[in-house]
Amino acid sequence: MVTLVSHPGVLGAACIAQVSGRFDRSGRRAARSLVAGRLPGQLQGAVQSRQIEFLAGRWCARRALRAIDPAANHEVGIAADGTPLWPPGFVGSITHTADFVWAAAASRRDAAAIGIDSEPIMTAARAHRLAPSIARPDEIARTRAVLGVDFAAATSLLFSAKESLFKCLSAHLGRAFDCLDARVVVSREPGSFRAMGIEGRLELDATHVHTGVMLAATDVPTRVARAQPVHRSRDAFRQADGRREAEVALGFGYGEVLVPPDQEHRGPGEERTGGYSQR
Amino acid sequence: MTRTDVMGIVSKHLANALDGIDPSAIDGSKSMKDYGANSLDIVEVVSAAMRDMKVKVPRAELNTLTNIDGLVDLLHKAKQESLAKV
Repeated sequence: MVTLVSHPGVLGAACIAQVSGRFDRSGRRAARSLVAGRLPGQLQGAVQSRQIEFLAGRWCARRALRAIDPAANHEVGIAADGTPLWPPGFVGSITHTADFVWAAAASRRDAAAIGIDSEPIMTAARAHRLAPSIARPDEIARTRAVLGVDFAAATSLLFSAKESLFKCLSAHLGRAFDCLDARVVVSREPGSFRAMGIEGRLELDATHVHTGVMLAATDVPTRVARAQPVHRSRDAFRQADGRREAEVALGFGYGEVLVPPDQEHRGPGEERTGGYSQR
Repeated sequence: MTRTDVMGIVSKHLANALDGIDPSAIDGSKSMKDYGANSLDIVEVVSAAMRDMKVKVPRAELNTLTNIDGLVDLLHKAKQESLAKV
C-alpha cells in the first residue's frame, strides 16, 4: 500500500527515525490492503480514503519504531480525538497529504516530543479565505519577504509550522492551541523558523511545504515554560506610537511585534473576519 | 437559531469543502476526518460556519471535540450566549 520515498529533511537529529512514502487512497489495491489492515473500531465508519491514510500512517510509524527498537513489535494506538497514542518510552508524530505519508519517532530518552506536518500549498483563493484564522498579517508579510514566496505559499507554510508546533506541544502539555496563539517568525537562515521560543525547520517546494519541530529531552524545562500562547501576554502590552502594539519581551527573543487579541486582523475599517488584501 | 439550523450550516460547509458528500446524509456522531476532511478543510468549515453565524469559538476548544455533534453544540451554545448579551 505504501511505496517508500525519501522523507523530508526537516528533522535532522540522528535519534529520530523517519519513514515516508506515497500511497494510493483508492482502488482495489488499497481496498485489499485495507481488509488486511488493523483498523480500530472508531474508524470503521470512516470513508475509505480516511481509513487508508490512517493505515498508511500507522504502517510508517510502526516501521519507524522498529528502526529504534528492532526487537519489539510496537503498535501506535489512537486516542478518542484521533491523535496517535505512542507506546511507552516513545514519542512521535504522523502526517499525511492526499498521497504522501510521513512518520517520525524517537525514544523518550532523546526527545520529549516531536511534531511534523506536510501540507499542499493552498490556492490563492483559499489562502485569502483562511488567512485570518491562521496567521497575523505581519507574520505573512515577513514570511513573504524573507522567503520570497507568494501569499498562498506563505499562508500554507505558517499553517504547517503551527501544526507541527502544536502537535509537539499538545503531545507534551496535554492541551490544545489556536493558530493565533503562536507567532511564527521565519528566520533569514534558510529552512528555519521560530515560535513560542522553539525552533523548527521547514522545506518548501513548488507544491508542498514540510515542517518539523522537536523538543529534545534536555530542552523541556526551559522551552516549554516559555511556550505560552501569545494571548496570554495581554497584560504585557503597552502603548507604542499611539497604537496598541508593542514589542513584548517574553523570552521569544526575536523582538516580535505582538498585536493584542482585540486588535488582530483589523486595519482601519477592517472587520476581524475580513479577508486579506493581496500584498 | 435552532440546533438543527446550526447542523445545517455545518453540513453545508462540510459538503462544500469535500467532494461527493450529501449534506443531508451527514451523521453528527462522526468526525469531519471520518468524511475525509484534512486539517485545512476543518479550519475552512469552522471558519465559514462561524462567519455565517457571526460567532467566534477559540480553536483550542474546537480541538477538544471528537465529532460533528460536538462542534454543532459548541457553535449553538456560542450563538445562544451572543444573543443573550444583546
